[in-house]
Amino acid sequence: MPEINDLPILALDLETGGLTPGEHTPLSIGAVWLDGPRLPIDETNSFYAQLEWPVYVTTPQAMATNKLDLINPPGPSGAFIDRSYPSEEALIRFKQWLRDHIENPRDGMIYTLGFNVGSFDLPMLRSIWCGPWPFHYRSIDLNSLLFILSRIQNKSFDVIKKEIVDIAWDNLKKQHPEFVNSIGEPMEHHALADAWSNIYVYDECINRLNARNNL
Amino acid sequence: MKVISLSVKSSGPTPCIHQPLAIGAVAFDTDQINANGDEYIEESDSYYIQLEWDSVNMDATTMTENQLDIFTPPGPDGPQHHRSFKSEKALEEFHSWLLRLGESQYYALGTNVGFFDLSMLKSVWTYQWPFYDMSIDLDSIFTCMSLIQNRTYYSIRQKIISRAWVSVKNIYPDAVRHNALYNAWLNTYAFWKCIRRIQQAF
Repeated sequence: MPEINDLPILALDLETGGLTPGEHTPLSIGAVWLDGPRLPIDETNSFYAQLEWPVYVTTPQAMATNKLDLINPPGPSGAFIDRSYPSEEALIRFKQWLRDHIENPRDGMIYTLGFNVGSFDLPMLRSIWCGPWPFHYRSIDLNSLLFILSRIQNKSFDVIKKEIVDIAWDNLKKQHPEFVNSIGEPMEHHALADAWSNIYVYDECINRLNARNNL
Repeated sequence: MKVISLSVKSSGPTPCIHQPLAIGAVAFDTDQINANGDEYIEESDSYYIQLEWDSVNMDATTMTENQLDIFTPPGPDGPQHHRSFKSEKALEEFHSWLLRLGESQYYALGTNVGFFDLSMLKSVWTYQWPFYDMSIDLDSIFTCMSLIQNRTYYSIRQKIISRAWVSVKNIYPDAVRHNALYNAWLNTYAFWKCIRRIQQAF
């Protein structure tokens, strides 16, 4: 039986038109391999696509959050972090990118990582997925790791979460300035920026846990 | 943090296609967890109900696993871990139990609880949603423990679950693994053991 330590781990984030899989439209996919190179951001470590649909089901709150331009999408020729494709092509590209990074692909072998990734992002992705499902039914939920840290460090969950998420975004801003907007703020709610931020949140959680373990 | 360990048994794996057939729940506050392991939960802070549906879309594998008798359900007069109501009444009863606990929202705890149990419950829920978006996933905690302790996920999981099951059997000698209530108790004890083990290790 394969162990998690042997399986590829993928930080996954979707921006969507609302909160309900099967009802609201997935709008963009961002994904980063945990063990991939950290620089530069390109196909070797990351995937990003905005999805163009003939019809969208969205809520005003979701669109205010993700700020995606559905009427005039950027198209396929933009920068790596600002590209859109017709939805079917985007999913084909995503599947191919996943296959390109796994030596012996099997169904259900990719562990996903993120905030509520199992309860939100995976069901949302599954609502538009055709063919074999490459993701493991288990996932690594960052909220659960932060909760454990909050118990160990005897701080409230909210304090720990803010502390670690702030560190993650600081790291992201330093390492990857392409995710900083014109007023110097990180591009929160951009699917790829969020996926990268999740990588740094995970790093910080594991560093803290290992540091405590070595005391 | 107010937490509800939640276990939903269903007629199949897919919400909106298959039906939830039984709900087991144990409510506690994370402040209750202590180093001595002498936490205590009142029986009134746990809940179980089997749901009777007019028609059920069944998946054979799932029905074999959950071992629920949906053709001759136990009815409302059985013991806490073995009683059933018509689905609408069962959900109303569960909702009333949640209201009696006194909070408007809870963190759900379980294995893949956000992906499976909450989605299954949500597919038939008509009241104000009583759970936060964030849930506590035991699998993620086992994974985290396995990575930092350099042990396999399965060895960590097996050790904690087997010890948690001993705790459940100490209180409920007749407990069976497939029952949603005892699953909720199992996850509660497993979570407490994780917390204690991590706090001791660190």
